[in-house]
Amino acid sequence: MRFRRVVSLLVCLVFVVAGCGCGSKETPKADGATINVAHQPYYHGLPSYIAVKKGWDKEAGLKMNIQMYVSGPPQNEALASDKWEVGVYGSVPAMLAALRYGASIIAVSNDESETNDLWVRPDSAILKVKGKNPKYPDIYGSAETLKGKTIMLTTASTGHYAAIATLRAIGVDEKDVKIVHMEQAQAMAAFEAGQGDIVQLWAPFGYIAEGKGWKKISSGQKAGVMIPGLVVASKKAMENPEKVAKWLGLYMQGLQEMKANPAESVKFLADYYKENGQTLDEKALKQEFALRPLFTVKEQIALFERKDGGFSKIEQDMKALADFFVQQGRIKPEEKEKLLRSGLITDRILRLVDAKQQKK
Amino acid sequence: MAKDECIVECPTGSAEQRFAEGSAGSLIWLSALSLVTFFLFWAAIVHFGLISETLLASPEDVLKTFCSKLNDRAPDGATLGQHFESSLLLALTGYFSAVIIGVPLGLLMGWYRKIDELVRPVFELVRPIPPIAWIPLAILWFGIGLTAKAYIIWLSAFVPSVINSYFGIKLTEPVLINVVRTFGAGKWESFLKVGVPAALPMVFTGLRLSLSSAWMTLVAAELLAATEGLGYMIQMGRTLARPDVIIVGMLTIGFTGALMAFVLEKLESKLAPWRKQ
Repeated sequence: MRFRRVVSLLVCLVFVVAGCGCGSKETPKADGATINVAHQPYYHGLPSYIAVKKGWDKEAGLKMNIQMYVSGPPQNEALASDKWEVGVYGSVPAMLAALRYGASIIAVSNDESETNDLWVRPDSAILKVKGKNPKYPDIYGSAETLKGKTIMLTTASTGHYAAIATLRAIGVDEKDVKIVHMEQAQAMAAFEAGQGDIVQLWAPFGYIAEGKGWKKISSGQKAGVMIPGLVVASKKAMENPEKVAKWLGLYMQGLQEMKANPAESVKFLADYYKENGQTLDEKALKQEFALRPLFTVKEQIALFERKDGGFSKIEQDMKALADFFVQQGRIKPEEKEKLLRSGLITDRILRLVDAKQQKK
Repeated sequence: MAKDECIVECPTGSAEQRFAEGSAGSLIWLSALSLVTFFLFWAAIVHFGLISETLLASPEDVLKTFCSKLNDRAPDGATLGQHFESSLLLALTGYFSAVIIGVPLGLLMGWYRKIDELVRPVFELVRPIPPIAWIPLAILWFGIGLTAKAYIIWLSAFVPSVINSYFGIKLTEPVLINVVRTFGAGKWESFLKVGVPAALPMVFTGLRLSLSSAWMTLVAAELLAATEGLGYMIQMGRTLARPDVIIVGMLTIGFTGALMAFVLEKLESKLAPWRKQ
């Protein structure tokens, strides 16, 4: 009996030690020649993919070890374990990465405002009213048509932000609708099965929704909120800003290629999606480029620039998002202040990239 | 057989009782020591930096969060009590519906060969499928309300109830069956008067395993659709990178499951007192 207890204790100790990742050999050690990059299998991962396919990473002498994550939470968990140095994802997990793990928001991947959207079935009564509030002429629905409706969305996300902004735009109280939390794929499946009245989706699910004949009633952009996709560097990575700038230079090179050559980049996007297990038709692929604006280095420096002692454009957008999270009770007011006033949103790396580009 | 020749089971007397009670007392101390050691070890590995606080919240942070969650809806939209109530309803709905069907089915399968041959092929086919794999179909069949989520839990809790009831009745001593048949009892009467009581200890084991499965499946069930519940709370803790919230949810599930298992154990000691320790 005693022997069994000793063995049980040893087994528990082994699990605890294994659990702290001490023996992890999966992620290459970060050094000057390799950088661990976290992406998701979506549009904002394409610049890195193009940089690798075109061999720019080899030319720059920086090998990208690209890790794929299905969503923000596991990507942030990996960040907490120092599994990656730079990464790209939505503004909510980027904000949380900054607050919880001291990561820096260093650039914008794209403007996702139009592709965080709300959809209804083609026979929905909500479609009968449009532009109820003249300030938001492209939003369908009204207080009367939305009252009592069930909205399936992923809570504590940019989609939730877009949905609440929509409700406010047309004068609907959050308490007058029923919000049900679901992950994106399940929300789509449930909506297709006849559940709920409105479903909130983000790209590329929105394109699939359009293909099914569902109708878009609003988006973050239509509701007047800016939702940037963001580029993040870990606290540890920022101790070596030249290396981060080297990678960001490659990322921006890929991004600028997407702006300059959308026709060729569509093919890269198709391959990128395919390699990650998804297939989108050509219309959807082109819509990614049409609906999600990209910004050059100079344009991004302008977004990050503080004028007249006030917040920069990016800081204002993040402030609005943080206000929403404070109002929802997801983060504390002091955390919002920390996000805006602790240098966690910085153009430092962009300026290094710009300086290098000027030299060329 | 003379009393001094009894070697199978000696009659209990005051000496044996005192010995048993003394043993139980020292075992309680051991259990308490085990829990205290666990919490001290946890605190030590966080305080001494063996595991970063971003990966594992300290016991003090977890306790603070637990206390604040009693009244505060932040950061997941409901108080701990509201989450608990929602999950308890869900877990018990799935659990009781599983045992009400699973236990009688297992007993009948174990006693009547025809029922066994009829049900077992489908049961064996469905048994290995993880409950989470049923979520898309659950949405299609039952929607996104309590029924769909309870169904996921039902699937998880159903299997141990059936299996343990089945083997419990299968292990009925043939001598007892032969005796009751000799006295003229039919198959149904011997099932009720011999088979079911003989199976009770294993049935209760099945009930405990089903309860454990039901609570373990809670997080998966609440993935389906939720705005309250301990599983939802854990998911929100994950989304918001709050390991303290995650651990409060986990411990609440753990303690509730343990308490309910304790209640089941007491119920078993009333209904099947002949079960040997």
